[in-house]
Amino acid sequence: MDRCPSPAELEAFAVDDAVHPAIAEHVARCDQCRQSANEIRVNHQFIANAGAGLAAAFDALADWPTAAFVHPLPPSGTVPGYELVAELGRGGQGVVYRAYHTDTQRPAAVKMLLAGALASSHQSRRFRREIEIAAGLRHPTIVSVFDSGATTDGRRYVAMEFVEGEALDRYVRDKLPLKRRGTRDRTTQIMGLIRSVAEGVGYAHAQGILHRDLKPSNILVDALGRPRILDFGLARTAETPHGATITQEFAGTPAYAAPEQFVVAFGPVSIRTDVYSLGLLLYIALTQTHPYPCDGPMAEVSRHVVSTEPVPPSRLVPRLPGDVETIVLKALAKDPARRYASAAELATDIEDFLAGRPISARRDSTVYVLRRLAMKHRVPTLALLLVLLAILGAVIGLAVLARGLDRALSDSMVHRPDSSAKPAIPPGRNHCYGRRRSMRICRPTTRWASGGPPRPCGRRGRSWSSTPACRGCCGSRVIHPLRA
Amino acid sequence: MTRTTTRLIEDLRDPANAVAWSAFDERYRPVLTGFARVLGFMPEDAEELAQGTLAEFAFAYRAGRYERGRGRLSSWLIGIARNVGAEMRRRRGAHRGGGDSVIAELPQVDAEEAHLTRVWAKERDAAILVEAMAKLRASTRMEEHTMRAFELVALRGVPAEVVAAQCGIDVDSVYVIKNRLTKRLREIVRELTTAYDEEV
Repeated sequence: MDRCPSPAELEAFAVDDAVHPAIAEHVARCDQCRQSANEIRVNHQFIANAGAGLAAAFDALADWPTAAFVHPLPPSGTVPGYELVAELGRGGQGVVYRAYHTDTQRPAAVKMLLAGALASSHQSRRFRREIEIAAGLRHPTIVSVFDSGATTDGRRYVAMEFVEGEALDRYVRDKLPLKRRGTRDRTTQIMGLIRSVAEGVGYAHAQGILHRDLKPSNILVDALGRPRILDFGLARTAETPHGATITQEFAGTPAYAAPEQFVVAFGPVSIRTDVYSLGLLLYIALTQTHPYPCDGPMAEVSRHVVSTEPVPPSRLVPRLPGDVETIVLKALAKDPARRYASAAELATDIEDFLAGRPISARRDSTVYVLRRLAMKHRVPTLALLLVLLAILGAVIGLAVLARGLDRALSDSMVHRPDSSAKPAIPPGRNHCYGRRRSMRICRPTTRWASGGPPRPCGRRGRSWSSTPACRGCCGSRVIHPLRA
Repeated sequence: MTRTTTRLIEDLRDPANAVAWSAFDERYRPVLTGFARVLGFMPEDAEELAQGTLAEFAFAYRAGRYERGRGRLSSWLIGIARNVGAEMRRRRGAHRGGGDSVIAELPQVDAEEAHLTRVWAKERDAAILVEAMAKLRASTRMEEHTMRAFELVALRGVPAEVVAAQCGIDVDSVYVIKNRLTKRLREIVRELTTAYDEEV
């Protein structure tokens, strides 16, 4: 061999030189190639010695997606008309590849079931339905479907528009990070993003389609900052009776599911279920945190989704406008009836906020909040009510007792004839004052001595200090501040 | 430049040298945590043991109880970890006195010295690899596809042809990347190993 071997040839030679006599002969003569071959062998040995430790060390690197790339691509020609070039993502049932249309060179994303021809009929039906649903939607915020068919190994595939972008949560984290001092601009941009998503979802609703699995990873934001909705894998038509997927299995992602997806008592899955998910997207984008703990077992997550009230976003985002909080909390209401009636209504409210117009959403009334609290904490509320009732009873009892005592004391003092001493009249009586420095008007007392009721003179008196006694204005013998 | 362990220990003489203490923590916490995990501690317990050991080390070192002439730092840390583990077991045992089965029983750190030293060395090597990989990644941050190709072909055993297709490069480039980055990784590992070694 006259020329130096290529890196691939040299690698093959260095690892097993016995089967490459021509290269061996060249390497024996070429210092540079010999040095390179030795280097390759040392590297090979290093990797072999480090073993799994190297891969483990690599896995310990933060923010490095690895798992999806260890699967080899299907052979060329598997998807008729498309050349698969890289794996974009892999889920529990499907895999998505980056691809090019072989004739037009148009970039595309090709999705197919993982289990391929062995996929269960249920999976196949669901995938077929996803394709049908997505193909029927034409909206700038929804990823379009180009075509679909069967691969050479019997898998059903769908070729979609390829969106070069980031998932919503990553986009917000990188491009719109939450700072210590919240900014109006950041809020406006996030509200704009979610408005676009809500418009797309509203369009799907108008076509009779529910998404049912809206979450940050299903929203891609392209280089121009435009959001695109992906993955209608769990979508269903609004008129379909919610039997098949809903009663047989949980449909959706627990951390992003609405209360009614867990508990039938909240009512059927409906348009308002997607509204809840949009509220969740908005909450997470604004606060960069989930409103409830969502990394535990499903039962724990469902308990939070069903009964834990979200922390008001204004506590997490400084200077968050009140209208934004109102919009978020309305979309996230546990009771579907208290949410926006549709995604379009939510989009309109966001639009109104962005335009500086009044929004339609109103905060929950204090009575409603108190009632919810009472419903949530039934036992403490009942105990508190009992305590309050007991206190009220005691107060009333004491008042009645005091009134009886007062009456008895008053009678005993007023009925004493020709008393020249200052009578002990209970303070507060209209006719018999305590020592108050105020102008008073002589009015009839409720108690009087024998001889009939006193006649009020109606004269205005001076202060007590300068008017030692009432002398006959109303026939009373008690001392009071009115001058006769 | 990575500080040698000997230099690090010298710097620790100044209790106010936060940089040195932080570097010491960064270097030995992963080793201690991995050490405890290998000995059977659950993740939270392993972290507690690492924390306890580092705190005890700081206290003893500032009190002047560590003498380099009397042994290697690793042996001393293993000894402290052993005591901290025993203390954790004792405290946990006291809690379990009431029959609380929720609290898991902790393993004993009473294996023979040679075994503990071997476990320590293995964990130290693993920590070095992690640090080396992070340094390699940092040095190739602008070339993500390069790092991806290296990962697939060198660490995951994916055939070079598949890697080339996935990364959009030719097969020769895959081999060039593999050998260039492996060589760089070897150099980093050698440098770190030298730094971690103690000059007793």
